[in-house]
Amino acid sequence: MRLRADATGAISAAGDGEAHADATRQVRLRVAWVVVGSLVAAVTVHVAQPHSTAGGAVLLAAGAVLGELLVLRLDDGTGLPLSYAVLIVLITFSPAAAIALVLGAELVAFVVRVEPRRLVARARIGIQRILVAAGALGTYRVARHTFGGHEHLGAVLGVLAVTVVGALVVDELLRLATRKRSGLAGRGSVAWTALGSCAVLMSVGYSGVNGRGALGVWGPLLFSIPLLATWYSFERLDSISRTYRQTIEALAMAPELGGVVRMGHAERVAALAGDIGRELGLDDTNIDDLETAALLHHLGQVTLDEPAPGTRVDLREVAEVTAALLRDIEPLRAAAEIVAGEPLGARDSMRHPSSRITAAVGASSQALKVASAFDDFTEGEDARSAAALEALYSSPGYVYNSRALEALERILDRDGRVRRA
Amino acid sequence: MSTFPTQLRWLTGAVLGAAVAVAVICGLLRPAPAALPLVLFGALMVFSEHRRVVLPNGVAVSASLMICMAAIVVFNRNGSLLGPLLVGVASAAYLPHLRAGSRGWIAFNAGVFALAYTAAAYAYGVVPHWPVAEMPEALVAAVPATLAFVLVNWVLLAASYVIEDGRPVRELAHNLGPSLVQAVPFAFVGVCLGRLYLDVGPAIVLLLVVPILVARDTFAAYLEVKRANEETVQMLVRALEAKDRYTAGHAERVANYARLIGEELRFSPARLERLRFAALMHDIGKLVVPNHLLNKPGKLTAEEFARVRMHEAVSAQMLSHIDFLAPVAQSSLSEHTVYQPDDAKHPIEPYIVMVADAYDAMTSTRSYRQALPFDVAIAELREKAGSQFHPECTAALIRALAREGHEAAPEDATVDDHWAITPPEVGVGSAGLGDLITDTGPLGFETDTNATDADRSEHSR
Repeated sequence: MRLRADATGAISAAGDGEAHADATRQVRLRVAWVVVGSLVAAVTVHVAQPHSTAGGAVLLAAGAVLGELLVLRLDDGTGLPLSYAVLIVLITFSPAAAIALVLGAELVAFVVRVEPRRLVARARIGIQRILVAAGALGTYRVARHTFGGHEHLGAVLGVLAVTVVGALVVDELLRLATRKRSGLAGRGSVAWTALGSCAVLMSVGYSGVNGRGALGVWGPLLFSIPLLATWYSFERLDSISRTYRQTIEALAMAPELGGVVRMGHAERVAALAGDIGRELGLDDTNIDDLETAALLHHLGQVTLDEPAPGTRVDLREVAEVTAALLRDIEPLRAAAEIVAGEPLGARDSMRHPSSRITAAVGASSQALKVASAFDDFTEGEDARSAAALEALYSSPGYVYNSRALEALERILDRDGRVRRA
Repeated sequence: MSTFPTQLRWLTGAVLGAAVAVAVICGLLRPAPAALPLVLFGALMVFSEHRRVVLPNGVAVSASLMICMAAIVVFNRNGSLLGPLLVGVASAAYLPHLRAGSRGWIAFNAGVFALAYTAAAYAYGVVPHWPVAEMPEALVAAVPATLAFVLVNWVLLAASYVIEDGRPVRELAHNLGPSLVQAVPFAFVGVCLGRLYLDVGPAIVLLLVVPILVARDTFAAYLEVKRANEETVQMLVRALEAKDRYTAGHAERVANYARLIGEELRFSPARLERLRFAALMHDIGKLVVPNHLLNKPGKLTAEEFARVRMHEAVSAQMLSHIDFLAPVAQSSLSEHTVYQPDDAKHPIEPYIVMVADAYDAMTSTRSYRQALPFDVAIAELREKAGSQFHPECTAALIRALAREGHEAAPEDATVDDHWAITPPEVGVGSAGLGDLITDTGPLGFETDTNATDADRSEHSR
């Protein structure tokens, strides 16, 4: 969630925190229900058919349902459900059993799922899961046919690894079709690694190799513990990352609420500087630092005394004070250097006294400088974009970096914010 | 923990001696361990110890118990006890200790782990039927093994603590239960892993390293962001103190008093954490107040006063942007800062911060008056309990302060040594604002001022 300036000029911060906490509570409750329900079902099945593996199969299907409630949250807000690991165990069963168990699990998941709330969206997710399972099933049958049966560990691991890749490919295709970011971006690749290796372990644990080492349902049950540990770590990381970002955003509000900066300046500059940075070829980490720097680049101003009447605030001093505040915080050090480099001229930045300055930080400072100046000229009005761009271009050559300016022009062109004659 | 206390030499000698004796006995009476599992599990043990995560409470968490349980299962196949002992020794090879030259800790840990894992291995095979039983029953063997490991480990560690700095064992005892509860599921995973190693091959062990490593690295990343968030909040506190030098240390002290109240009200650790952040950031809105108003020694004009008072609404707005603080963000909204007896639906945290804030405001020196003595501040809290302050919060603070032995204002609460401005008798400054209420009635602020009545009544006294 970003800052929004409403009509009265006050920044509204309608938190989705309550909804999030509520969803977490509901997930806990439903996990408890599924655990109790599946235990009752498994015991009933076991009593009815003491010598079959049906009870274990019911527990596994219940595991798939639980895996729909517990999701490895990725940086872009999408998730990888733990159910993928269980689905891969299920598809190694006979085709009829596999199809019945996967469909049954997804049907129950349709009912117990907390998010999304709309039934159509739920059905769509269920169909996506079934497609992933179908992809894994197809890959598994083909791979098994190619590699032969289950003679030794190497072949089993190979077949299962290919199966995981099959599921991954279908998941990626679905993300592509729904215009979502790749599931392998950011934390996604490690999430898939953990999910895939646990899926293989669970599957080997369930059926063993060549008739040896089959632990039955205990295999998947116990090897879900490392997966749950991974899930727990992902949850903690996701929650603290959100809190951290919101803390930064709350701090970014201070200069605006204090009236020393125009409303929405920090947010607009962060978005624009990020775009310019991407145009300049900076990577994701650099862009994160740049956006943080843009959000906080006026923070120091609130600690300074108000300038005497008739004088203007010294922007170099603001940048220095802000950088000094940020430098104390290890993860904000790059952002601090970006802010410190912002008021320097286009050529100055190359001769920055600090040895910590890297090319990426130098380019980020230039992107921030251009974005901030552009917002000062437009005062947040898109209609003034062309005039602002004109003004930036007509500044002396040593003020703004020409590559950053050209990047800005390309962005404005692309977004249709500057109309060409 | 890199320097090794000399008092521990005797204990280390005894532990090492016992470990050597046990090794000799195991080597003579039991079969020798196989080479492959010894190398594999030894290497994994060293690896997992190096990738351990240190929690904020100082406890180091690693996957070593799980790995060693797998090793115990594997070595148990031919009855070797020397294998687990040597794997235990390997886990003491911790590079930071080696680099720091603290051979003492390495020797101590080697002895402790050797004894603990040998005890676990012995306990695992104590009922010969269990380790070879079918799946659910086979897990039972892990329970005495885990118990033996945790007990031996805990007793020797407790002994080292007692010898080192005379801490009572009782203090450590509450760690025993939770560590056992956490250890058992991972010991079960270790048993499964060991059986798969024997039945399908050693490669399976390496496969488990992957998710464990992912979980570990993600958790380490979580701790890092958590620290960054903490440091950012500290930065905010420093920025506030740069604006208003009379409030040096104020946020930390308010957080401390809030913690005392929270502990007295038996808050959960998560709730205490949230309360701490709410207290540290309760004045965040002052960032928007111009410095000259915060530090103005004289009276504020009505316009200036309104500008200063704006910080409360701003604080609430900024805090409510942070989801995890949103439920307690009313701490600075003026309509919630007066206690309403029938106010059941609001969380108690804002009232806690309010009492903590008022107590610290009274017991510190401000630009417009000197600090009040402890008993005056307490009397004020007592008097206003139930009308202005939440009575539970004031009672909790008074109890906690009495227990902690706060006889007077905290040492660092006054800054009279470095007066740049002589504090006037009365006036309106940073957290004060009280003066206006009593002698500027016509300005019409009586109705909406309630934040710092402590100061107000102090003035009217």
